[in-house]
Amino acid sequence: MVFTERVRLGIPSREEIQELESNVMDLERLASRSATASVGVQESLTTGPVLPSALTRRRRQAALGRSGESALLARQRLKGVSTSSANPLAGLSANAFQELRNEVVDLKNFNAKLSQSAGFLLNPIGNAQSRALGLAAGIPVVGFAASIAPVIYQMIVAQHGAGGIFDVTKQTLDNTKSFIGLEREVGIDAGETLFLGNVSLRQGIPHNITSNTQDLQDGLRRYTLQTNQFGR
Amino acid sequence: MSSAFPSTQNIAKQEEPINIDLLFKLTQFEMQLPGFLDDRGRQIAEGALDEIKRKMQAANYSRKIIDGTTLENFQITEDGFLEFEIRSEYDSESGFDVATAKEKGTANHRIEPQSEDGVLSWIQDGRRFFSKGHDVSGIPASNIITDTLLQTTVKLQNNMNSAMDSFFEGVVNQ
Repeated sequence: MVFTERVRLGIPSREEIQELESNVMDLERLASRSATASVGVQESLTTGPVLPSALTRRRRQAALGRSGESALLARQRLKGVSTSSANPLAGLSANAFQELRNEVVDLKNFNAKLSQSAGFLLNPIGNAQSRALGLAAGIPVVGFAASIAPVIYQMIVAQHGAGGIFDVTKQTLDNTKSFIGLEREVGIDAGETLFLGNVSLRQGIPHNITSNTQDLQDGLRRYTLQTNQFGR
Repeated sequence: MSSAFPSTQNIAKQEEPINIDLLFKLTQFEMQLPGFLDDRGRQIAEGALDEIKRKMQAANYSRKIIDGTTLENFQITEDGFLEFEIRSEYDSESGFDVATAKEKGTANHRIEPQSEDGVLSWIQDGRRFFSKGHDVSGIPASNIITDTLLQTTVKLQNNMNSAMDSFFEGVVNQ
């Protein structure tokens, strides 16, 4: 006799796998179309009239669209036909003012961020540099790279100027403020610390003595230092 | 599950431009899925068997019953099921089904000597007793196999689902 328990776990069937694959492919197609569409929209929104075809395309759209009348008036103005109802700005697209305004605002923001960043970059104290980098992150890369060169020049000059982190004068002033310790001063006066103009002399066992006279002279000086304290 | 002709061939026949790379990955997924299900399904089934054996050991089952509990008839069906059986088999020398008795229990029953002129003998509290037959109480049902599988089926299914999802993502996103 055998005791048996049976277990059934659900897995995708062959038809469900086909459905899954079909769904994935459909999703991929939709994503591809969406990407293509978004690129098209992005180009239409951001790309300016850098090509003649773009100009003609925009004009054709204006002629076919609601701004067709304005395009006609602009054409008359270009031909020298003056009418009382002619709008001198009619040749522009419907969003021309908004586009121009956006460009001005962008330029203004860019300059503001750049000057703000430059101010922080010139200050090497604290976390001002990181804050400046954070501000710079919002600036378009190309414009920032082209405009930052004079700022960097100013920054380097300022760093080497008075009060800068590479100010040599300040380092000199720092040296003048340093002093020899009192213990060393007392040691020199007491003859315990050798402090002579002759750098070849040293305390302890003589080394590299090439002359008996030199050795005797050193011994005399050392004796004088240790006994009479007149070695200075 | 046999998949001699991947269904992605039907997708490739469509007229709209398709992502060949994705199609290749889907074909790869479909062709590797049966092997993956067989391998991972066995792992999951053996995990359930190990859990049952641990509980048997904790309940002081004999080693012969534990060793006689095995995984059998593992198969993947065409209609989308992974099936397997947990089988427990151990009979005493007299032919008594010990494994089933431990799992499902036994009712009160009468025991008698094997021969008509024989007697039953046993020692209790230091005294020997004899009997020509008497009623004994049954074995309580443990239901270790049934209860464990009932408790862990959802977990096993979840493990299977997450394994399949990971496999699909791994193939498609490689």
